[in-house]
Amino acid sequence: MKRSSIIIITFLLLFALTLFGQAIIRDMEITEGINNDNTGAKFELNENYVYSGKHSVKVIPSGKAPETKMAFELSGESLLNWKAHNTLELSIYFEENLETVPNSYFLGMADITDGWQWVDGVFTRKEVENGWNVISYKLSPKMINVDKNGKYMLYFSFFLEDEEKIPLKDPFYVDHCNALTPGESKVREYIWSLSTVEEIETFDNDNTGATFEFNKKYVGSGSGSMKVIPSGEAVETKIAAKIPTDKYELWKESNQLIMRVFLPEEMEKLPTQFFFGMADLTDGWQWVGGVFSEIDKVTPGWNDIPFKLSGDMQKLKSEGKYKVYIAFIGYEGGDKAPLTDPFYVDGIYAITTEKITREEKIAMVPAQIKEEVKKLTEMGDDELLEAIQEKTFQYFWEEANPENGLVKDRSSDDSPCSIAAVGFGLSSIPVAIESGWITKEEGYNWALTTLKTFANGGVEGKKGFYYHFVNMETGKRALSSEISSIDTSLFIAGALTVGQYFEGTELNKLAVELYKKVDWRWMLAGGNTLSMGWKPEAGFLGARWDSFNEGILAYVLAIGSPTHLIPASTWDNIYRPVHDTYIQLPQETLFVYQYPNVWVDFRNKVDHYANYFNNAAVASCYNWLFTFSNRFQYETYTEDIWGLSACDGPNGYKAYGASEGNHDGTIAPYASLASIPFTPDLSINSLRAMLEDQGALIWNKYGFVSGYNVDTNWYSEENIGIDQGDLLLMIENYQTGMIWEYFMKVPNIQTALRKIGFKEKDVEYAVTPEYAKEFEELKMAPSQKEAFAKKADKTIKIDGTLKEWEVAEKYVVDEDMNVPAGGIQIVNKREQILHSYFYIKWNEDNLYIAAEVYDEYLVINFGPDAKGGFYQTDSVEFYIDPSKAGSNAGLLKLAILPFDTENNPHAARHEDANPGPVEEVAPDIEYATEKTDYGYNLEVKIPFKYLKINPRSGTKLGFSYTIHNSNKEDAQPGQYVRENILSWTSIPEVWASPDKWGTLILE
Amino acid sequence: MNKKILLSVIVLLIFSVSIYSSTVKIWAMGEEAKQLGKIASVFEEQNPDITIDVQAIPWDNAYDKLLTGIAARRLPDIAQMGTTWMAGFGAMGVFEELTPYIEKSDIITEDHFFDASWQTVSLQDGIYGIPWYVDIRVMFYRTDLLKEAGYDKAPDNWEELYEISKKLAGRKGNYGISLMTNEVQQFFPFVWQNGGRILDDEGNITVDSPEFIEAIEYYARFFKEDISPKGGGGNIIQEFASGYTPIYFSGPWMVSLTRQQTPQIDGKWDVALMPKKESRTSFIGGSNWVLFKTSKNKEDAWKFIEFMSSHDTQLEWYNILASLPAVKSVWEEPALAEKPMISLFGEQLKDARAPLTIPEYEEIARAISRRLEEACYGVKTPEEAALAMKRDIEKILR
Repeated sequence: MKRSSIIIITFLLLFALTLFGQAIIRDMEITEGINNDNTGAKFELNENYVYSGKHSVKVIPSGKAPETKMAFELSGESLLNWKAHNTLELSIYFEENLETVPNSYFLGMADITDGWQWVDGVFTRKEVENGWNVISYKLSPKMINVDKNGKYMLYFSFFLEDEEKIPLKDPFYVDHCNALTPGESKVREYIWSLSTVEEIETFDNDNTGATFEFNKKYVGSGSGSMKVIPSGEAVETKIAAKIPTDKYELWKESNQLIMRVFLPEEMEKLPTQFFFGMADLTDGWQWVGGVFSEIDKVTPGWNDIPFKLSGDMQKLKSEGKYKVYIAFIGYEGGDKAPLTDPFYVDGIYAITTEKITREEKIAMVPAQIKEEVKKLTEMGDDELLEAIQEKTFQYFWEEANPENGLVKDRSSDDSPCSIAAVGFGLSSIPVAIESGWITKEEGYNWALTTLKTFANGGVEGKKGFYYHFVNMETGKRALSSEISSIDTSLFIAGALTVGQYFEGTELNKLAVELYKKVDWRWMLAGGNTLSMGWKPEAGFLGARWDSFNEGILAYVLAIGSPTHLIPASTWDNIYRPVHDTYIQLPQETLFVYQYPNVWVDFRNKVDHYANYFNNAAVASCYNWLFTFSNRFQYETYTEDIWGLSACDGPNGYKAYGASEGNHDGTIAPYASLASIPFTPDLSINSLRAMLEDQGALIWNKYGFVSGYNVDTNWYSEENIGIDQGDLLLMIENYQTGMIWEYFMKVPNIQTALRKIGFKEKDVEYAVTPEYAKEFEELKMAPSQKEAFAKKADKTIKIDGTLKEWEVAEKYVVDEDMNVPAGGIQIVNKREQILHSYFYIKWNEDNLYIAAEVYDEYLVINFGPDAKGGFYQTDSVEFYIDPSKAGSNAGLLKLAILPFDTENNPHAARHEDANPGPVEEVAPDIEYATEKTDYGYNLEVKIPFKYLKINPRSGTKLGFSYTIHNSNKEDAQPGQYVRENILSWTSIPEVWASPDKWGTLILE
Repeated sequence: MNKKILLSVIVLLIFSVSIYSSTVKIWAMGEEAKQLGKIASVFEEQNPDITIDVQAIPWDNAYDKLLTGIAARRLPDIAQMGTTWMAGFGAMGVFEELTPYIEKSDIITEDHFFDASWQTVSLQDGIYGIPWYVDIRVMFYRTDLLKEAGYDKAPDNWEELYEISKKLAGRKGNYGISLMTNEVQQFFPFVWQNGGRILDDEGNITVDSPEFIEAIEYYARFFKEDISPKGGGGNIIQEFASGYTPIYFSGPWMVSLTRQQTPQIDGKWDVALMPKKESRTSFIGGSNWVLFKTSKNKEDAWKFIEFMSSHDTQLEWYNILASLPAVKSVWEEPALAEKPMISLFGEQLKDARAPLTIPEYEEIARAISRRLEEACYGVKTPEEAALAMKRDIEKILR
């Protein structure tokens, strides 16, 4: 075979596998390679009872052996499929009225790579029914952790045990041995399984004369199938039925359905074309759509006939009624010809991810985990916290490479090392020693191994900084990660902590050496704040640690550096937005507040800005209040359970937080717990409620999993190193203050805090009154803004094209200029484009304004009768206050809807001195808009007569410009869909605060 | 007196005030915050050792401001609280339970206030606020345009409201009434008028009752038949004045705004009671006073609440801001009783209802509003909308 054909076949095979989403271990299309492990059983191919493909394997027991066995080899491709999953399924068919039906199922495994060695076995008991059954074997860790290059034997044993084992006599059929992970793997779900007389009676022939019979000779699902007997006259043979309403959800999620059909060998003419049509019967009869199956060729025996559903066919309304029509068409000499012989249809199914309920998930949790959780719930607070710490610590002990001390980023098999996780792990060593989980010697050696790896170049880096992720074995850069300033800081903080614990040792020296190596000045990247990192491909990253977040830990280390210190003034270059009572990270991702507090003891310390301990306490409480307020929208949030922070969620790892648009019902268990030094009551309430309500599903061998979401019935199975560390160390700080104690003993840390200007002070507030006042002024700074308008030297035509404006001075409203308001989201800069440039000119009679609005998605949902309320959708507003020029005309606030559903603009004066559509209240105002590839342009002419002023050079007007934005793609006509507000003067209630608008000066 | 001496005198004065007086900190919203000082000075005169410090909180930021205040335990002593926010914040456990204060009070008793208003301060296990002022929805209508259409009085019942507004909608380019597709405060009165409710006394969800469904159907009909604009939110006062929408439902603040902004229709409009079905029930809103648990000055703060609840202060406050007194006796004062438009609000107050006072209310209202809109747009039939509401509410109340 040529190489290219092998590749094509491999590709096709892979494609088939992904299509069906199942990892086939053995398809049971041949009997070669199956043995009976000396139980005397025989194996034959069968085509009557077939779950998938063309055949199943008929197992004929010897009638004497206490157990009937089937064994085959597992290696190569099937072994790879095996490795990725945790469950093995085998389909088995039993005919009616058997004398001996097995009730016990054992799966054993041996390693035959080199000789024969027992691996492990799992046992399941099941009362089976007539027809097809699925036996599910939950694989043990030993069975999953196989060597992909090895060779194994699988032994299936079937037996009937009732006090003693009774030898099986009756044959049964096995098929479709496949590996999967429940809840993740794609599985079949039947719309119609065609297994009962009742179900078959719901079908009609759509006047094609065909008759249907229940039959048990050929069965692909359940215990029967539908025999279709064509009339022999109709050119198409049809089956038709209403879609069962309980299958609507499944239907809507499926874009392909598969019909299993058995075509007997003796059929004179095979149907070769299959049509699938659908009608809406909700209100009369209305055609929805239809498709032909794309199948190339059918052959006698079992066939899978796929149908791809087109868009409309998937859109079922829950209150609607629908019917499908399936036509079987045969051809003779190029013309359609009636079918004459019976055939069998058994099952029409969708391939979906199996929905397992929360209860089923709980049932699958190993008893030992449940027992453990139960014990935890019965413990007192101190005992409970310690038990959690000990369990959590196992992560750092078992997910580390003992050769080099590197710690995995997360518990998945292929995870690289995260240097931040190493830092948390190092910090946990003193805790483990003091708690007696490891000996002092073990802890010392482990830490020493780790630091030596870093000191001896075993971890790739630059200038004393290291790559965020590195290979667990080689220490080389992984995942194209960056040389990371924050992750290096977390590593150094951990090294210093454990070093200080072993004061005066080689380890201590090594930790200080590593700290000294870090060239913080280099990380300033020519600016006055630390860069987030560096990549060989791109140099320094654009992003800097220039606003309040976990980066303040890096500054403490950098300012305190014994060798490459940066000036303490950099501390003041961090922007610290105040959210009423505390300094805020707008995304409200909780770990950001916690990390600096893991090491630095900020209690009773105040700098110019804040007490950062109290600040974290307020942010933690706010995080609770946020989920509390949203608890009726998400089942995950309850009165007690809170904690929005970075973690795994249903759609991957995400930096969740307590802000609009940044949460989806996913809770990070570590988050509320790690706030325990700040909010002990709230944290313990949350911890206990999580264990009570979710315990079994969110607890594993390393304690709490990364995240969970009750609303989507999603539970992470993984643990993340930095989350483990955060909660372990914060519990320790709460109980003994140990991490604070050792880290604060590092002399350079004290130096740093002194240089920054921290003072010992017992305060109740988070933000200092001085800074609160300063920030208030900073917030009002937009009102100090000025824009200048040049005199127009030629006439400006109001047509929406901006060619007259090319030379005009440009002013900007960008993504950062959000107006804070209830129910409004901050523009998500990563996902949205929303900014605008504007221009202003004037002459004796008029003020001219033009703007380019950049908006990646324009919502147009107001009809031609729109008269106002434009702010509810994509629109802009210009505010003019002529009182600054001595006029008593009152405010003029012009709202412009750029496009109605017929693409015409509308303008209205809104909540000002003379409100109403401009056509009625200010008819000489002209306006025009034009769509562009980036959004739209607009142009306005406002006669000065409406402002009652005679403009002169130097005239000043109060002025602002506000953009209302929505990205709601399914906005209903007239619906209020605003999501963002930006303004040139971005202050709360800008629309009602003329005293805080900027100034427009006519030149 | 030279400057230095003056300065030290001031410093001394401030110092002595801070020794001998206490300060009651208040958060208030909107216009109330701007005007409250006037009445607070009367209180300060009567209580020279208490200073009132009013901080104005924009309505738009109020919810978040309360959250951040609670998170930091930096709250005022008392605050103005919208009636529909009572249960939500109440559940956070931040309000002081007031029964012990009320028992000792000479001024504040339950029957001092309108029933519907008292409902808004009574949460599950106690009294967590004291009513301040109320607002209530009535019908605003254009007398002249109705006359032109052949009607010399306001629509009195559901049938008439439909018939008259339908006729008015026949005027080219105009509509008959202004309703909102998604505004529950406009919609709930129709439910109540028809004897419907969201939850019955046992807490069963009853949005799929025939009464509730009929109210959806009636409400949605105005949109389906183009009697009310669907586009929503133009300037209601301007549109009322231009005749574009000659009937709408709103609160007392619209009386003065209409007079100020559209004097051209003076004498051409009036207010009327809600239309009758089984009853004429209207929606009561407004604001209450709450006392925070964290307050270190509860006695003085309570004193101020008592002061605000007295007959005289309530009357005075009506004179200042024309917001409607929650205290029943004030309505007998000539300043209210002898003004036909205002006394009509008083009349309507006797048949008014507050929405559910459970923490889930805001979420339920959102769900109802969403489904109501679907019915108004014809995406769902009234029955479908009601079933969808029921499912939504079941999920919320789980």
